[in-house]
Amino acid sequence: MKYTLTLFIFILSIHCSFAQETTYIIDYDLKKAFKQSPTSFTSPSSLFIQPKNSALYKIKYGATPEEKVEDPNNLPQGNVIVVEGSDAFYFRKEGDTTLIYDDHIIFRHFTVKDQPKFNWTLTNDSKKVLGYNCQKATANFRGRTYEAYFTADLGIQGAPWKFYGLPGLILHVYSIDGVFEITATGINTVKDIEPLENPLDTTKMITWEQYKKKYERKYYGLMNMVIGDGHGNSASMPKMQLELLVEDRN
Amino acid sequence: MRLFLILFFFVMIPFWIQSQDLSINGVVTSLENGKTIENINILVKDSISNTIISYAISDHEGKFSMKIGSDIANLYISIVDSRYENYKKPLEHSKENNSQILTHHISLQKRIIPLEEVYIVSERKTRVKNDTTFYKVSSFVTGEEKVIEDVLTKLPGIKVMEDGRIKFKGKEIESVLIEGDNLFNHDYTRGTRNINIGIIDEIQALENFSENKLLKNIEDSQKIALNLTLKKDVSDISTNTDVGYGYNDERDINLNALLISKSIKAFSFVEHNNIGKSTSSISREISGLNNSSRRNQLRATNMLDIQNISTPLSQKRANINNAWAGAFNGLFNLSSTSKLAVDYIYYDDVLKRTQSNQVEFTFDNDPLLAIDNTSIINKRPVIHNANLSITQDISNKSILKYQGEFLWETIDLSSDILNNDEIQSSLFNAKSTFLNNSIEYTQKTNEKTAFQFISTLSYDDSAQDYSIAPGLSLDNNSIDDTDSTIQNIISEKLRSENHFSFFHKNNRTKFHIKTGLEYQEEKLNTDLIDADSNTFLNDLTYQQLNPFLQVLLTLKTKKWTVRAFQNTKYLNLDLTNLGLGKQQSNRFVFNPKLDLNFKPSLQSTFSFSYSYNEFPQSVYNLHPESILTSFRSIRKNTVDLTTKKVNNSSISFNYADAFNSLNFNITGSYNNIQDNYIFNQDINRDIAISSFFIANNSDKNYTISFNLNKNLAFIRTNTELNSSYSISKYRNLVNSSDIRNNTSKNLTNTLVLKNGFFKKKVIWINTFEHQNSNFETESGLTNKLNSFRYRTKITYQPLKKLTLGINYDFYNPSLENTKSKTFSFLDTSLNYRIKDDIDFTLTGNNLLGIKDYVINTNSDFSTATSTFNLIDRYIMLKLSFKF
Repeated sequence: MKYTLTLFIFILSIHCSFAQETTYIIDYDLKKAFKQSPTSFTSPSSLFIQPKNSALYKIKYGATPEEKVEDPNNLPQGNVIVVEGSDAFYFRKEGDTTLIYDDHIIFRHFTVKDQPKFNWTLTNDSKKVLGYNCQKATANFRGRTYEAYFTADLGIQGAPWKFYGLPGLILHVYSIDGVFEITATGINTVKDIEPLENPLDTTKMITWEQYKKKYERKYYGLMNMVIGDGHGNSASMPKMQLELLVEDRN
Repeated sequence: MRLFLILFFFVMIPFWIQSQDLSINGVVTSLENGKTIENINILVKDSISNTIISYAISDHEGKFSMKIGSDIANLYISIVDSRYENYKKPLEHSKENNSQILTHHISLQKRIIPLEEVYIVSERKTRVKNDTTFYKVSSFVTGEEKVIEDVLTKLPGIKVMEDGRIKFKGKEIESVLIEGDNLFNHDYTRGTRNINIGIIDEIQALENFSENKLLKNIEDSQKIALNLTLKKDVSDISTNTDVGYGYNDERDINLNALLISKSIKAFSFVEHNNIGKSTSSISREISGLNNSSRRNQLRATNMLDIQNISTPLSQKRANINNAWAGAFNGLFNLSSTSKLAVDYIYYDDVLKRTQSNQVEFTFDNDPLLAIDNTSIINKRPVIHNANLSITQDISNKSILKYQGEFLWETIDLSSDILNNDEIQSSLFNAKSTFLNNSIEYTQKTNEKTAFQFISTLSYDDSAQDYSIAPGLSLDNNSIDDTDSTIQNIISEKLRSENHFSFFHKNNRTKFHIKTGLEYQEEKLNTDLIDADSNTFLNDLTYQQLNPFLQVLLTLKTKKWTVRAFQNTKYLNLDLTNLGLGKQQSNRFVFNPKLDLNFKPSLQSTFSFSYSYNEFPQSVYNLHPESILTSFRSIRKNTVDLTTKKVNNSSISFNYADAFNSLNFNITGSYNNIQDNYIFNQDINRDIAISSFFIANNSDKNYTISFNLNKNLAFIRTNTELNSSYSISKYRNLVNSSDIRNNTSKNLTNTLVLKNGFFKKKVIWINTFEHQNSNFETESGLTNKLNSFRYRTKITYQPLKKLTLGINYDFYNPSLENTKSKTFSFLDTSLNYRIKDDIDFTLTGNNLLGIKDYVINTNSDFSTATSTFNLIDRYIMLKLSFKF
């Protein structure tokens, strides 16, 4: 709720306040197609960049109230359909390597502070995305290999989700296994708006390592949980979501 | 030494290689004031390929540093920043310094003319619909599954009942669709128990499902349907064959074919088995076991209990059958706007049952009475059922639909009875014909409003003949050797309903008004001649002409769902009974219902429900003269048209915390029935006569139930605890007593422990069930019964292709009686998949060879022990293949 309110204030402020610099709004389609998941999900998302201030990436998992996701908590036995009713946020102060975002483990939310590290390798490949010349870079990050197309022509740096560290704006990025893909669908600039604020509750933050540990504990807890008359995979959690969360114990 | 040299060589290589690379460092400053600038992206680009070779970001002191290749020809430094003017300068070796480090200081000028605003948009892709839950079948199959039902049992949120009915989130589903088409009508078990899972790609649970596409999202549908989508590579026709044979001539044969093409969808099957299976719900409906089915509400009231030979034990143990069934379901797209659906099923079965009952009656003022009887029953039901429907889209916004059903059934039942010391034999034959027609017209006026007109007309005609020899003397309440007892019953029901509905929705509200007229005419003719040639005749006509107005208002907000329903009816009842003349009753009845649902958080839900209903009495309670309902039971009524009034209320709290694998529900409910028919039973050794009449005051039920599901990860156990406690306060009269106020208390506790080992290759499920039923009469008589059941099931899947299962059931029907017999069942199974489309199963059923089963039941005046026979031990080899 707090998120929605903050976002509302934020959007309102786009229209009616005075001040400062240009804010870039990049719209993306975010697609997840996990092999263990029944279907692929595409969600709209937006990256707000204020070059001197901070960047906020928002994924709108829910949709209009009519299309609102039925509460998966009501599924009487376990849950495999990971669909979220609320929006997700990723917030970073300009120049700060720390990213703050909300993540969840089986519907319990956590505010995570993370310092994702990408060792990008630039390649000579390039293509045009939304009319901008984009250069390809590759990196491995937490169990997946990514290929990203970024442009330096806009004079801003930024990237959706946890991506970081390229000298430009990522307009298209995907994992080479086809699981995760973010594609820019529009770029917009707005002037004279209030500085972006962190919409997340930062009073109880955990680090990425703590988050991973919590996930791992749940993973091993559910591994032997039998639901229904057995054998179904339905109670298990994947070792790997977008990132590798459970290291092999041997 | 040589080793040292090699090592030295290898260690030095990277330094040499590295030393070939150049580094650039420098400081970024502002041209205006000379201050350093942080967070500036410095790019080194190749001017030919125009690609970035290297990059760096200035730190808080404006410093930067990066490595580049050895060749700096064609390289330049580029800075594009929204706050500063673009910067572009070629890279040069500084002449005085021959080192590998280039120094390049950068001064940036503040951008005076800002970048032009950009506005670029591409087309957005489609999004996910959210009232649908998608299940990818391949994620749930482990190899042992054959038909759709086998997978459904594994899907979270879906539960399959023993009779094949399916529930999603605790609510029974309406239909199963194939690629969006309702091929199976309401008898979806035909599909779920026959169709091979191998051809199904995805199962979708559709909530707020509207059968009529024009009413989608406009009506407040709480219906649920499952939609099956097929794999893309599935050919037009897929067939499946199962052939099973056991060493004692047990047979289980099933052949089915599914045809899916652009204009036709069809499914047909032929099956035969004598191991208790049924793959259509129709046999259960016809036996009266599924009274809630819409068809049974239109059918003539069944007066006799005799047909019901079901047992509380599962079908695979107790349903001794020899069934043949064949069905065809077809759906034809006649044109882009019209659709024809036809289906037909034939079912023919021979059911056998040997059942004995020992009952001890305890009365307040009479001495103890004990009866003992054994029946050997042979039942043969034959059913033909056909449905036809035509749907015509008149326009995008209007649909006309016709539906017709024809049902023809016969039941022949014979039994040999040892009734205490007398041997009797009885014959029962029933025949009935049922027809149902409906026309439905729907018009959608806009996205928010629609109306509908439905007209239905149904007719059921049934005849039942029942005879027992030697018969019963109703004068002496005993068996009379001189003659037999014969009974003929003819019952008819004609029903028509015409109604008009208006639907409207707004953002948060949905509104439905329905008004119309229902007309129902029931006729009952019974003719019972006892052994003394006394004749008991019922000849009644019961007419109802009831106009009604129903209003349903649904309000949904983020946390609240409110459903308010009011059914106002003018009851116009007209009963003519032979000998009693005409009785009439006219009155308005107001039946309100309120459902409140409050969801303060993602985890918690509070629900409250209240309803009040007034029902006209059923024909079952409106015949004044005796009807023989089984070989030793007679029923009759003191006729009264007073309506039955039922108050229901319930309150519940649900907490579902998936993170902690915890699910908790507590529900309390209360109902109160006023003007209820209660019985006055006169129990004799050979015959029991129940006279029903409306008693003043009311009967009450209280129930509290509690469910807890928690995964205890530290002991690898998923636990489920279900407890239910109910108190019933009801009244009766037994053997000339006054009205007895009785209380029955029932407590059921079930604990299920589920363990998975070795990544769920081994699954062990233990179920403990304890039942306690306790009856008390006002005079202080009590009757208690405690039973205990334990079940354990282990499955082991050492290979993907091989599944082994073992099942053990233990049952103690009476914990009080230390001499009572206990039962142990053992079943085994082995499934091996030879190829994707061929597998075999070796099943061992009832391996300990238990022949009979005992059920103990008690009431406020009796304790009964019923024994019935079981399907014998068998070992069956079954081969399944599809092509």
